[in-house]
Amino acid sequence: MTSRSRTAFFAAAVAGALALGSAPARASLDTVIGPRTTVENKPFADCSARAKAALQSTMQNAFEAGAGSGEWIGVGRIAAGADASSSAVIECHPTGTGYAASFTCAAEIPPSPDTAASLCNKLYAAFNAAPAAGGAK
Amino acid sequence: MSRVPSRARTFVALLFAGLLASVTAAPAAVDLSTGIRYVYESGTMDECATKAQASLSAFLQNTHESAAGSMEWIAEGPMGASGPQMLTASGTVHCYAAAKGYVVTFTCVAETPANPYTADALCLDIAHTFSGKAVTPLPTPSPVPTGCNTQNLIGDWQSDDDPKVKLKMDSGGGLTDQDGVSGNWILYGDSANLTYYGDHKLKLSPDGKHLSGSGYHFTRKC
Repeated sequence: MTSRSRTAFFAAAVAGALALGSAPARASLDTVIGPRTTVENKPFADCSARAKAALQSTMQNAFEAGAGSGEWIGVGRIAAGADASSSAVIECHPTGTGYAASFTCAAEIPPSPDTAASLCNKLYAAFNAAPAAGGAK
Repeated sequence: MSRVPSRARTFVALLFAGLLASVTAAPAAVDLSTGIRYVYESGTMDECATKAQASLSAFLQNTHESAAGSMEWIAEGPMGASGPQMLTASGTVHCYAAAKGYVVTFTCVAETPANPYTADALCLDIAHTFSGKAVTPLPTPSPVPTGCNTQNLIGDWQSDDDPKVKLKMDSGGGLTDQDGVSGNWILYGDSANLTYYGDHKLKLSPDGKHLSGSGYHFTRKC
């Protein structure tokens, strides 16, 4: 076998082995609808501010599905640059004198360290602990 | 300098680095879709609830209300998924009362690349079913691989250390031994976790035939 053919053989073997190793995994997709909170006598903007703050503090990011929609999304990663292993949506909906906020969470287990339920509980707690509209960034 | 041409060595190095990068990346990801919202100025919450259940059940299974009276409906899939290991999609429909009529929103999640369609495609079909619009057929899931494969642990396993120990692992992530003792399995990449007299971390061999680690060695019949 010449050195060139040995090199080609080695490359093919490496490619084959790594291709096998990168076959799709079977994790488990966990989804829950978390607790819903209703707040009276507060503006809709308060809900958006709290939703954004809760997602940022829990998942380190937050963005609105559409400007003014009141649907706030967060994405969780186990490391910077890794694929999303969890995600959450906080939906704000106006009521007569205030608003309702609902929490939907999903986690891929593994690698997500949180279940969907624990993520939603964290978001719910952070939402209620967040400063009122005007105090949020 | 060795006899191996430098161009060939560079090629091998780049190939190795590229493939290694593709392997070390997380092998699956959570894909989320939200933002579709319908406002109905007439209609009741009961109507919303009925349509929510029907539209979810058209594409997913196990449709249920997250809490009685919450008007938040959730379902999982794809159709035919038989256990946690096979669940790669979910959808939720939220009904909100309005001064006149109701508002309904849709959120979907898909695990990529295992799920055969995206979260956006799922949510669009659920929403269109809700509103009575035409839907685009979703791809059906590929058959679950059986035998020696690297995507799951389904099959019959024989301990290499103790011939009496045999494990049957099912498509739902469950396992049962020869005495009827049950446990669970989960696979992520080539890392397996067996819950069987405690939690054990094992590695699946590249040919999908051997599991080893934590003092256990198993061979799959295939």
